[in-house]
Amino acid sequence: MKDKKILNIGIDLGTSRSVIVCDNGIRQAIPSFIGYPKDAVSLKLLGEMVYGEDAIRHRLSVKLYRPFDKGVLLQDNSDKKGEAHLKSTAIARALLRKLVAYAFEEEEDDKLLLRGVIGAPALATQNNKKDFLEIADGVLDDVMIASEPFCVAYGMNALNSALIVDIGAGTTDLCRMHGTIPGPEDQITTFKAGDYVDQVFLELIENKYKEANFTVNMIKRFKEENASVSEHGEQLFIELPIKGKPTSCDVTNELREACHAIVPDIVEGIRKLVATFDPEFQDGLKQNVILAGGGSRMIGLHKEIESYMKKTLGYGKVTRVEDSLYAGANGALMLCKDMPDEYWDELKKRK
Amino acid sequence: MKMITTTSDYGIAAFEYAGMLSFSYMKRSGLALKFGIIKIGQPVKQVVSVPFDYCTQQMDKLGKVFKRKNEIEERLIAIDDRLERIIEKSGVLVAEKQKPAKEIEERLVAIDDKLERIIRRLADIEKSGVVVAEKQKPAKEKKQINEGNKMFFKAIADENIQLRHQQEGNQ
Repeated sequence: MKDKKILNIGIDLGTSRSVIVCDNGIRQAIPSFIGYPKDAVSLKLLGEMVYGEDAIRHRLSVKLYRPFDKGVLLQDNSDKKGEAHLKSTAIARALLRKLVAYAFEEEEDDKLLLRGVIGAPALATQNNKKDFLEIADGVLDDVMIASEPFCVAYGMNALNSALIVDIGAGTTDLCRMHGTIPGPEDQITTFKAGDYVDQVFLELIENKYKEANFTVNMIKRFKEENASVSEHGEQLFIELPIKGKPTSCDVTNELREACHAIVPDIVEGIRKLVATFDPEFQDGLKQNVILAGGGSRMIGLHKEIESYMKKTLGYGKVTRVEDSLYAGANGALMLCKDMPDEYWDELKKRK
Repeated sequence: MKMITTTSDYGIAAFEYAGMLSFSYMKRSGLALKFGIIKIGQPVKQVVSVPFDYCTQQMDKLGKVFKRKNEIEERLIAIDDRLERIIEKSGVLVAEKQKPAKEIEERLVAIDDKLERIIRRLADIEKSGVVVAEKQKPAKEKKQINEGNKMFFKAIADENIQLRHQQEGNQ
């Protein structure tokens, strides 16, 4: 074991996308979906399991599973390990194994010691965190769990006087950093995130184009490419089948309204975290609000939050992380690399 | 007689006067011609003489260059001589350096022979069951830990140890 080469890994097991970043330069993001073939024909065609984009593409011939919901393992409602819980754990483990396989594509896995840090939602319970540890058992040799917004802050070296807003698919995590590990009072988690936008967008289109036939998957990609809260954006048209005929539908206002749906909770969360902070240090927080996660790519979101902060808090400066998809996993990797060996050894002794 | 003398005097005077008059006319017309030529000729000269002046200046310069040509040639020859001397000197150095290279080559051949003998000896020893020890690995590099971040690491590690405890307790 001592002669093995250590491979450090940062992992973000997200509701919509799972991301891995390694210190050997490999980084990969896949949709958090796993598909199991429905019958012998699809088994022959696709094999025992399909992951990510392949699973979504073949969703008609596979049973499609998404192991995480609202940032944590699906069916995680009790300490008692029910069948649904075990199934979700197995699916999540298969997804993690697939992700980790990317890490040693170019290396011999028997000569590697896999050491990873997994990001968990800000207010994940002890049980949620234990689920992550359970998922990693047998996949990673050493593993630690860390708060996702903390990982983002660590990756950006913004551990003091910063307010991280991590907008994922299942949750939006808000976390104020003030030079210590953030406690529960420093963090707010809302469930109005990417999936909520999809749901609102779906309902608005259904109301406007009653005859259109479409699924949430169809509009999800469109949303990811065009999400905007700006009033001055261009007109947006999506092609939807109406009575079987692809028809161009104007969804400019619907998409803007759906994207706006998550803004009030975010800005209210920011207001709460700033208002309840030490008054002497509130200015520092207001000046350093950082948006991360897939939702931060929404056009005009940072301006919208800034204008709200100006109205309610006097002023505010909001920036977006450059690499929004990988920001959490990058921070987890840095944490994994910087974590002193004695702590890893201590953790191993307790295993 | 007096009349003849007077007449001749008049004649001479008339001749002198005619001479003076004609001289005067000639001088005046000559001067007029001279001024006329100067008046017309000067601007023409000014225009026409510019290229000639330029040519003259260039010729002067060329002349100077040609005059310095000999000096330059002499200096070039001197530089050439110095270069030749330097090349000669370096040639000597190269020749001198070649001598130890030969010695080194001889030494390398000797080391090669020694190594071959050692390898043969090792092969004999291995036949008797002695195995060469594996190459010793260099000491593991210690991580550079930022003291300011140490408390974060400690807190995260402690939380994870606690989680492991709880997990074991549940099992």
